[in-house]
Amino acid sequence: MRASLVASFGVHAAVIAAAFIALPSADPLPAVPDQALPVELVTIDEFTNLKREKVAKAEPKPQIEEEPEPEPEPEQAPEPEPAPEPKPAPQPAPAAVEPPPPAREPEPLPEPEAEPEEKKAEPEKKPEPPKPAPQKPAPPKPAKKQEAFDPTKIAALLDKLPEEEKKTRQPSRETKEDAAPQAPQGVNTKLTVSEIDAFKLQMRRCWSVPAGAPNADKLIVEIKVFLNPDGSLARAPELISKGPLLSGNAYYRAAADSALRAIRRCEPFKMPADKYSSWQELDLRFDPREMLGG
Amino acid sequence: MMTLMRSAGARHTASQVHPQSRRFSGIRTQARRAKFSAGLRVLAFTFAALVLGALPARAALQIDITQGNVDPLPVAIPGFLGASDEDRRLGSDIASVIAANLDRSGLFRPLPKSSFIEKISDVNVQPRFGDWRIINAQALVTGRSTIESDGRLKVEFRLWDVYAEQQMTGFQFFTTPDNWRRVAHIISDAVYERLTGEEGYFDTRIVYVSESGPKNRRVKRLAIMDQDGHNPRMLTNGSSIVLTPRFSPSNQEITYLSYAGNNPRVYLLDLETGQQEVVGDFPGMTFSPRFSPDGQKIVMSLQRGGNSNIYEMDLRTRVTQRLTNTAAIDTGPSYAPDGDRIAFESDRGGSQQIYVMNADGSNAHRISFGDGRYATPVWSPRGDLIAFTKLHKGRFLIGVMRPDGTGERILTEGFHNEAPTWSPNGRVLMFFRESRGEQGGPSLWSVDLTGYNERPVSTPTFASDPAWSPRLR
Repeated sequence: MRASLVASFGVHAAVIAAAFIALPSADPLPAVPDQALPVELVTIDEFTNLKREKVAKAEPKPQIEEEPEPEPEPEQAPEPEPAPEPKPAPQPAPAAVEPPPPAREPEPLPEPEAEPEEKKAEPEKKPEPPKPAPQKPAPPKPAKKQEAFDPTKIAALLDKLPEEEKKTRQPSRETKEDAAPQAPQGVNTKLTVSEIDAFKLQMRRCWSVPAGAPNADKLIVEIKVFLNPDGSLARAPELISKGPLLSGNAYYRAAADSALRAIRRCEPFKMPADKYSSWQELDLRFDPREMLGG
Repeated sequence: MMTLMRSAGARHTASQVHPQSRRFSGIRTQARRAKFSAGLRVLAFTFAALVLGALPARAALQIDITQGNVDPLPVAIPGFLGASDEDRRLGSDIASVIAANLDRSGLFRPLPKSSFIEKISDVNVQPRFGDWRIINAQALVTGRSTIESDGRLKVEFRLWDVYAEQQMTGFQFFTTPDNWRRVAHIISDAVYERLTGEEGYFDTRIVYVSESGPKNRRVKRLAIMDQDGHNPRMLTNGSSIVLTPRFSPSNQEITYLSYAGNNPRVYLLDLETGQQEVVGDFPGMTFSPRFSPDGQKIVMSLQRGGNSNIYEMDLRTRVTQRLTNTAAIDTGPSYAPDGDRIAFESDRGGSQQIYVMNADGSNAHRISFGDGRYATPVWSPRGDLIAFTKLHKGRFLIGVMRPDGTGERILTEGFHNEAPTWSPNGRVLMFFRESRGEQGGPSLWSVDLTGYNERPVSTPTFASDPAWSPRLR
């Protein structure tokens, strides 16, 4: 009995220990390359449009001023409706390629009716994505785009209308790179992929990667950054991962210094002011593996 | 993660329940079990705590920064201050040597003095960092040189992080005034180390073969100079031809090949005492000597008849040991920095290729499989790479590969490139390149591991066969 208990405990302990050792330290998947940028740029239009639509209705936020034309609202509202039948396809891609407001403008935008539509839209949601792909020959990767974004977009559309539902349904996924496309559905304080990429671009200019160090995978530096609404540093950035520093690892010290310097050099960051709540505190993970060839 | 934690919790309750169900067993057993279960409980708690602790805090938005720039880091190095004109002249020279060193490394970009806004007036006062940020300097080196009343030179320096507004490092040195160059190299090393995390290589020297005279009757003498080409001097008088000098990785000794008496022999030269001696007394010709990492042994090839094999000799006991035994030509041995393995070239498979074997000669296996022939393997002091010369389609290329033969990269190519030697930190290779024609001759070049930072090394004469010293101590 006791032997089996011991055995049982031993095995469990081993499993937990293994999990503890292996899981947290497992090499994070290689970061998604920034090449995804072009694809994502497509969505930002949709996103901003959607946002605007929302503003029109709910508009808790006064400062969504990406394209402050008066027209925008009309344009988007139509989108959801046509989607069901005649122009489901055009929506996603066109939005990106050419801002085709004219086409839609004519149509009425019955915002109040939103709810009913939503219900209709839901069933059609699935059929839609397939159609668009064939219809649009223009962009080389339309299929992918739609696969990637259509669902989210539709979900977002649906969400707009019933506010309460939105909250409950809201997926609580991380706004890390991959999850970011979902941002549009959010209470719109989450940064979009494009906005995150814009931030990364700022960092890219500022960060002088310490070249040539061996074991680049051990030089990942995590820093907590606190920002003011104007994008400046609210207080000194905090080095989260101090371990290797205490052991006197000169490579790590140089890497940490370079990351801290990059943050100070980049300040103030250009960030979407209306989403301050999502970026007032950032965990930045400086990973030189790609740069140093791992 | 959560499920794991829960299972840890379940274990914990099980261990609590357990003693009660055993109520009727003997008291001793029960006591033991109680102790046992207490131990289990502690264990369970520990695991739960560990697992909980491992859960990352998810408050803030996490962003991975995977892209930066690899442009050279802008550094400002104003001339060092001084009380007298003499002091200031020295100070300015020291700053220039530091700037030249950092620039040559390819990792730094010293900013032109004309762009400086603040004029540093006191080395002990914090600089106005804003002025340096405007010109984009990321680091600032300030210093002062003073000739003391006793004739010694005192040099102080501070390295500042312009953005963190902090001093990163600072030292002062006392030396004789004619040693100022060495001080400048030591400061360069300190700056390099602090900013890259890597050991510097500026306070080092290069031994090479100086070549003079017409192409068919070259006088080849052993020469030595600072890593930046300054302070050249001859070590041998040129009465006999010398080849392939190699530095000891641990002290200031050189081993080389000399044709004294028309018979090539491996020699040993102590740079500090000038003492010179023949290594071993072999019946045939010995070639391509190289030190072991601890400097206590020399490995070389001994030619007898049509073939050559690799031997190792202990410098203290003078005992020699044969490491290879083939009918082929095995030569060019080079130790791994841990001394466990030896890379060498051999034509045992039909063409000249690189092999790696254990230090005792066992388990020799080929690692080079690309097109062409491979020669002169040199193991990096960092251990991660082996440099080689490759002959392919009539071109001589210099490249690196991992010790298992993967990851081959060519760093430079040309009509004739040969004899790579590593900087002590394993980041830079020096080699010689021969130019064509009657007036042509060999000259020294350096290239870093990126392959993009290739620069000539100036020498007063034609020069070949460079050997990089370890850091001076």
